[in-house]
Amino acid sequence: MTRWNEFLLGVRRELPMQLGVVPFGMIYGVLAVQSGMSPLAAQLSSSIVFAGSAQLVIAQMLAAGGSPFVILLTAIILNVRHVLYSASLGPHVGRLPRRWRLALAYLLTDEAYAVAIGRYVETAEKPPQPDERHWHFLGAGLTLWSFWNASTLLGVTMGAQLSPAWGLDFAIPLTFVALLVPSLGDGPSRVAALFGAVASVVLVAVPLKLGLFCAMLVGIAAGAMWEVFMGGPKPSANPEGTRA
Amino acid sequence: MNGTWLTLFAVGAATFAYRLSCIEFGSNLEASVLGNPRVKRLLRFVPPAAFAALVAPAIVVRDGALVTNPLDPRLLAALVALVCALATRSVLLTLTSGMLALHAVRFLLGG
Repeated sequence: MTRWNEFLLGVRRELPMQLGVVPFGMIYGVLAVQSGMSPLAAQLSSSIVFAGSAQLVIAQMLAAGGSPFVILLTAIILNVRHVLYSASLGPHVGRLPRRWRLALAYLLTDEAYAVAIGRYVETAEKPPQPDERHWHFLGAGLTLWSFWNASTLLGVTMGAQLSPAWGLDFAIPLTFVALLVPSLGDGPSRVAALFGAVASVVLVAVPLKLGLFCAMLVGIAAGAMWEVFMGGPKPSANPEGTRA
Repeated sequence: MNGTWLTLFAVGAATFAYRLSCIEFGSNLEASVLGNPRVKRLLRFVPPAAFAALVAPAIVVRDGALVTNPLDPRLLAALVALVCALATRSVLLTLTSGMLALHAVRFLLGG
């Protein structure tokens, strides 16, 4: 595949997810302005922080008069899961030139991670020659960045006209349902997902959303232990095909 | 520069540092840590564990309590979306079926 084809494929796979991203961006924009942030700060937060849940937390804590130090602490704990994404993609993009590493790191969000890792996993058996899969990552990341910033702008400008009755916030978990399913290729992966899900519900009341990160660790550990107890890793393909 | 901007730049820098951490040192780490088969095996479980942990509380926890009503619109809509995702593997169809199911159930149950 040429660079351009990889790039376009990344864009195309990222696009459907924007059905979840756009309402979230609008909700963020509306809430940030309602909670007293200046429209400029609310908008630029989507470029400077570029992490939806952390941006929402900043807006809400600023409105509640939280100190910058506590807000910083909260947001860096909330975002610690990005270290896992970085570790997961590091082996694939760590050898690229620095400008690529900086650009891809900046674009590494939940949704861009999903598309990027999906491409690396599906081509793991037979990597394309030459390997231009980082263009796929770039296409996905830039698509998300553009839609996130545009939807923030929409939310900032339209203020309070968005009705909570539409249930648009529900599109976010639905997006991750769609992403979860292809990652359930084999038994240990399903165990990882099951334990991750149960742990995140059990730990939901842990302050600072630290439970989310712990739940991911629990899921990863459970998958690995299951694999070990069930007799070591199978060759990466799953025998029943790709259906979960 | 007031506290708001300072906070934004500090959180932005911290988030970027997270995202860059293993990417920047990836080629060095790969020789030692990330290239280790055991670590590779662990990293294979990041996607299922992460996505499941992001989904579950949003569907079964409301206002800090577990949803116990089996006819809860979000619960039913999530099930519809899950079945759709298993059958079609399409993000677009999963999202639309889930949102349509949410409003259909709300309409039928008068929620």
